Amino acid sequence: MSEQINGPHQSNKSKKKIQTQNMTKAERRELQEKQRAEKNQKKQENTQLNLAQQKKTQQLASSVSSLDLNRTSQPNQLSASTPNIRKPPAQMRQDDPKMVKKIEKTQTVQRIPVQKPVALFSHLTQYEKPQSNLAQDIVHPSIISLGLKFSEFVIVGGNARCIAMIDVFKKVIHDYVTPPGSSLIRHLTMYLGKQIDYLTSARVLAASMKSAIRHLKSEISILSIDLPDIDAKEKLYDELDNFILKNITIADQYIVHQTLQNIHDGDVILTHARSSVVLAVFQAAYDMGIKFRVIVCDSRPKLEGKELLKRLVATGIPCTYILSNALGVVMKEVTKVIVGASALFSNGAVMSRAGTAVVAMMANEFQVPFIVCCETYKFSDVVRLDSFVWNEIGDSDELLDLTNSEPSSKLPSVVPTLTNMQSNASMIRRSEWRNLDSLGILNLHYDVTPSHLVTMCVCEIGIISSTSVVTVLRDLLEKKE
Amino acid sequence: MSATNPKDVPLQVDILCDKLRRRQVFGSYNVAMETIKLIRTVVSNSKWSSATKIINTIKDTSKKLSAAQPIELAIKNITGRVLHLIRQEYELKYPNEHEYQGDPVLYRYLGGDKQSKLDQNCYNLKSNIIEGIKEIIDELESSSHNISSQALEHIHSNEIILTIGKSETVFTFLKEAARSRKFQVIVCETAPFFNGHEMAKLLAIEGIETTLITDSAIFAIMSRVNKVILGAHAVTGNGGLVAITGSQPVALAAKFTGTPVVVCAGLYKLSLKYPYDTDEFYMPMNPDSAINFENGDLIEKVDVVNPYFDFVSPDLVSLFITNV
Repeated sequence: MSEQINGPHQSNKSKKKIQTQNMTKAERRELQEKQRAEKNQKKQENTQLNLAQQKKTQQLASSVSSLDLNRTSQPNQLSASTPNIRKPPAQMRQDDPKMVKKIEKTQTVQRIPVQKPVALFSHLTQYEKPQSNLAQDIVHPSIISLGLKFSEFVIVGGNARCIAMIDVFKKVIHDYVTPPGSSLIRHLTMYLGKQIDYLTSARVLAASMKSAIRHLKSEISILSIDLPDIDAKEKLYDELDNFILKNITIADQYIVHQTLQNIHDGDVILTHARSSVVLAVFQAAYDMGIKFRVIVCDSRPKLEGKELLKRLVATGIPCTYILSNALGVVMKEVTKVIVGASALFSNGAVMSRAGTAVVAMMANEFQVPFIVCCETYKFSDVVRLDSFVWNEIGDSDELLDLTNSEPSSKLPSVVPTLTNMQSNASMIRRSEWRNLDSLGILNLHYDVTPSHLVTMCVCEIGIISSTSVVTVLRDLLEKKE
Repeated sequence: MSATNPKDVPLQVDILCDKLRRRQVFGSYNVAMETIKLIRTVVSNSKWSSATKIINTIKDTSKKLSAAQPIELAIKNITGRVLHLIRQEYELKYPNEHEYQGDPVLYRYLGGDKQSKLDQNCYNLKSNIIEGIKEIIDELESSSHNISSQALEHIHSNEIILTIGKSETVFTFLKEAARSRKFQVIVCETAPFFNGHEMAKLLAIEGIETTLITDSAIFAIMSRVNKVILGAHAVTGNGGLVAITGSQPVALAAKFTGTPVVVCAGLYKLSLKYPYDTDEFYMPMNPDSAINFENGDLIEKVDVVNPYFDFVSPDLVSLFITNV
């Protein structure tokens, strides 16, 4: 053993080296055995944990255990001593640079992060408007066109997006060919996962879409392995159709039927933005001959209320139109408020278009009942306390468009339409706001209405209070098993 | 166009009435300034020999102006100040004119002072009144400066402040605070008039960290806000505010989360008018900003409610900051 001339400051490594060199052979062997034993123990415990994990995931495979399917990190299994740290999904940890790098590597689609992210929401993804030239080999063309429709807000609304997505999935499954050496069950899920990634990059999935995807994945996983591909595909088509029929079409009819019992002559009903169920309720009420009128409250920049207004006027219902600033003026005439929802959470909170919470608050102040119409497939077991935990941050440039045109007139069309150019000197131009360092623009899509502002929730199993979401989910889970 | 004679009092009154009606003069500060300048013209250029006469002339003028634009409560406020000034000056010259030593207002109300004893000849009264008016003008001009000098007491570092619309007073308030403290401002865009956009731009140019949000995000954002600072168009007799549309949802959301609401208003905005019917404050604007004529077929079948102002009830306001 060579003598090492050690200075006063030795590194730990060299210290260790010297230590092992000083030990006798027997002692060294003992140390090795000890280390090997430790390693084996750790391995065993890890496999045990893995097994427990697998069992758990199998049990909850068809349930609503996790809203977020893009969980890129498995719960950490560092060692037996530290408990499993439940980390929030990757989408909600954008302020951690390591997480961001990790996501970028696994993403199907590369996106450009926004130039000036809003600090309050730095934990959420904020991307620039997606580029349209992403022709991936693995993404089906109808998925690409669907993604484009989502990102351009041609198809909006929980139910509409879900139905459109299911229709496209049927096409995708139809065109799908199992590669040799793999089975449909295993490979189709992966293939669909890539498609879903692409859709997510176009626009974040709605709760309704996530529910549909979960259902589809569970249906694929319980397919019998002997079933020939054609039969399997037929079965999947049937399941998808059933899903729409059961959860949207029939559910909506039930909801309309139950809400109608609460609408009487002389009612003044306020609604916010545009919900397909609420429109159905109004049309059914009008058909039944109930004399009521509707006040449509709208919010920028989407101005979806105008679309609802058009349809209501076409039906013949007397309407009033306001923006959310005028709520204080009209609320005293309103007898009830009926809105739709994007999702309902386990703590009874309602996630809906931004501005619904303002309506709920005003309704509460004026003691007007606030009714939410929501199908059960939009129920989620996640708990969201406020609008900051998770939200969809839209394109900031949208706010700078001061023309109050409704969505349908903003669609890209071949024929150039006349746009009224408001050349207001005070208007902020796009170039200006990007150059002004101190100016940020926030365009939130959703907001969360706390449960105590919601009077009741109408879903296809009946009228429930919004806090009963957990019970409903548990019931559904038991029914499935 | 014929040159308007500045000494022609009725003409000047009519000119200002027209401007008010057409909203060429708009906003409580502008209206207050124009009113007081007009009153100065009236005082200096009309013929009057006794205090009663000038008081009545001023009252008539103010009635005309108010009728032109009833929402401008500043007119009556300023008139009230001037009348009070005149009576004060008169008292100084001829003190103890009436036997009743108690409350002169009550005395006057009970009819004791109807044929007013303010008939004494007053040579210096005119110049005193003009001087007093000048003081009122100075106070008006410095009101926003005085308010902003209190900024540092109310805005602390790293606060997130919410404001709505564009108020000159609030802007100078925030600018003053930003000179020595770092804080963030969230501005609501106040659709469909978009005053918030102007405010956000101005604040950002001053270097204040600003975020522009839609009015629909008010409730969502409120949980992060430390303080709400509003400007006012007028303050009513019970302490309620007439402020830009959207202020009521903001104040309510603040009450919901327990956030303090601070209102910066110069004294000239304080009015005696009691809001029996809050509907008269809304000042509905043309529906074009909400639905424009591109949707012509919709407009004829639909009512559009598009107010310019909102009424905020007094229990929602925590603090008034004025220039006194």
